[in-house]
Amino acid sequence: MSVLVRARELIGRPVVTLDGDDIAQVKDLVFDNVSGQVDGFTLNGRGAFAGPLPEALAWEAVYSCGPDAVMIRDRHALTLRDSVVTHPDMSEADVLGSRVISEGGRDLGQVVDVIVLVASVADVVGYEIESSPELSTDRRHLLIPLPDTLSVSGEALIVPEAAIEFVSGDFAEFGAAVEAFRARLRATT
Amino acid sequence: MSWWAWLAVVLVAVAIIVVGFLVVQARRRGGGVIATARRKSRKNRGGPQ
Amino acid sequence: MTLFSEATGRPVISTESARTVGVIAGFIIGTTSKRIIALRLSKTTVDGDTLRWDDLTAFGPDAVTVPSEAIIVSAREPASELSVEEAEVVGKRLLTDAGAELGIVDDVEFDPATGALQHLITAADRVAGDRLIGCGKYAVIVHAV
Repeated sequence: MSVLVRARELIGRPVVTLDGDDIAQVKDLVFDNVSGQVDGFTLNGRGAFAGPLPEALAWEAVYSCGPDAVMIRDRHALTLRDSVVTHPDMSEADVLGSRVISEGGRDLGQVVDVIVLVASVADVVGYEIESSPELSTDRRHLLIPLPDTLSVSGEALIVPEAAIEFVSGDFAEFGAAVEAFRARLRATT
Repeated sequence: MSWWAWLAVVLVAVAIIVVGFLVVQARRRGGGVIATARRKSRKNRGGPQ
Repeated sequence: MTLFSEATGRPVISTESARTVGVIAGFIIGTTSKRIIALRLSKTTVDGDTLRWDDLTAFGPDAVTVPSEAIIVSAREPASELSVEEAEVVGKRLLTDAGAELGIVDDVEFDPATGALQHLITAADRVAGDRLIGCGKYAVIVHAV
């Protein structure tokens, strides 16, 4: 079973063992800048005085990802941060706030959230953007689908021109928009 | 200085420390959505239910 | 079937002395056995505060009977498997292994003959006791339906 989730809703979610202990909470969601596949999460400690933890949680070690908690079997599910997040000098970037530009050179807007398809493997399938005036005059936040292969750098995020046709304002229908967009890409290549 | 003035100074100092702590904590704990390049290629391993 | 709420406050009476040796204050559950493994007592006539389920004679509708007050132990004994904070269920959030909250556990229904948990009761739901997976500091974990 797969479900669409907003990445920012995962941030701050408690990480709970099947024994019922909340041992951490989600800090960053980390994904591969080419495949869009989610590698895992970096973690903060629980409580207002806690800081980032040296441990991280790889996606393979997630038992389940639900609306109120990320479940893991036990503490051994956590690994060292380095195995989930590569070093900063290898084009690591927080995509929130980045500009989205179409291959044709149009500024589509700024990323306010990232849409993830959650299943046994989790995949980044779209951005929620604060749309530029070029893209839309009335709707402020729009959802734009992404292809299987991403184009992400520290400066900008590039999307195929065709993605603009499949832009959606409705989260419930966005899954279908992603499918339709990717089908279109397969048909035209 | 009068007693009131000293109290005001102390309260302002405490307020600055508290706000400073909150700002630093927010920066430390702030989360994002990070795009990263994998160091080595990894096979698609299974994950959650 | 009996509820934790009904049984709280019930006296524990020694059959040897015919005296009340304590009062039920809480319930410690085993997550593998899915039953009450011990009772937490208050107003005890001895130093301890914990009565293991296997040591009691009977869990009756008006009183719990024990052979003598000597079987009341302290939960803080070394090598005790009875970690009180993590085994108290009532008031804890109920969370499925799929990561969804079901509410707060208000009460628990159990079989007074065996201590087996029948249902975990929230405001909106009754969750069968055999769905229990674990109980920790943050939540009680149950299998999602």
